[in-house]
Amino acid sequence: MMARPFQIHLSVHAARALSVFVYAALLLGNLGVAAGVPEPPLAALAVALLKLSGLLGAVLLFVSSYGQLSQKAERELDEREVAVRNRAYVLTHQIMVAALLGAFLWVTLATKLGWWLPGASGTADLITAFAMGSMALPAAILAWRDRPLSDD
Amino acid sequence: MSAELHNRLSVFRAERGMSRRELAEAVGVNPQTIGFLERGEYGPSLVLALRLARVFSVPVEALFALEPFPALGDQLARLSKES
Repeated sequence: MMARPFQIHLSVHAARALSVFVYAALLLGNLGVAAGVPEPPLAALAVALLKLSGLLGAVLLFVSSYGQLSQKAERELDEREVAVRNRAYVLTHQIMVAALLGAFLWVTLATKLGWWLPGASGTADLITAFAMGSMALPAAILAWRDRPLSDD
Repeated sequence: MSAELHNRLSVFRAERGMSRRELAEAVGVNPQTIGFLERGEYGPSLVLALRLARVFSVPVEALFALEPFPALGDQLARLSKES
């Protein structure tokens, strides 16, 4: 008997809520850490916890049923699922490219105009957030495009 | 594509007393896909459309059309007047 891949089944609503939390936490947590939220220490701790929970949430989304759907071989999907997954990957690619272009633009302007730029560790945090967010993005898109299963 | 395609899958399915799951198993797709088809949110491939037609033993044009199907009540009323 073939071993089933590990997956966590999330309802449509749970997956959608998780995706909103993940991207809000990744954005706020990693920007906060990169910007070096100093005082009070409680704020720094909250930001760090937000960052960590965003990362963990992204992993959860990736191993969820929606994440597994984004990774499955085509022969295991029906034609609609293949089409939806392909569109999710196209949209993921577009969002990733837009984010990278936005970051490049920011760095270019910030260098010339003296705006805020992260240091080395802050840059590493932001790159990690980008990677984790990209990893989970197809699953998030699939969750938002899905409908709850109702049988009659 | 789905915006231009009309279907009456749910009518035929209800007549046969089939659940979405049963119909999905009969044509080799997941039950959610039947829901998407019935709501007009997904247009089937030719192969899937033919499989669905075969399940109900009707031509594909009886299931899918580019124009909206007339309401069943109106069709029945017209038929009963003619007879």
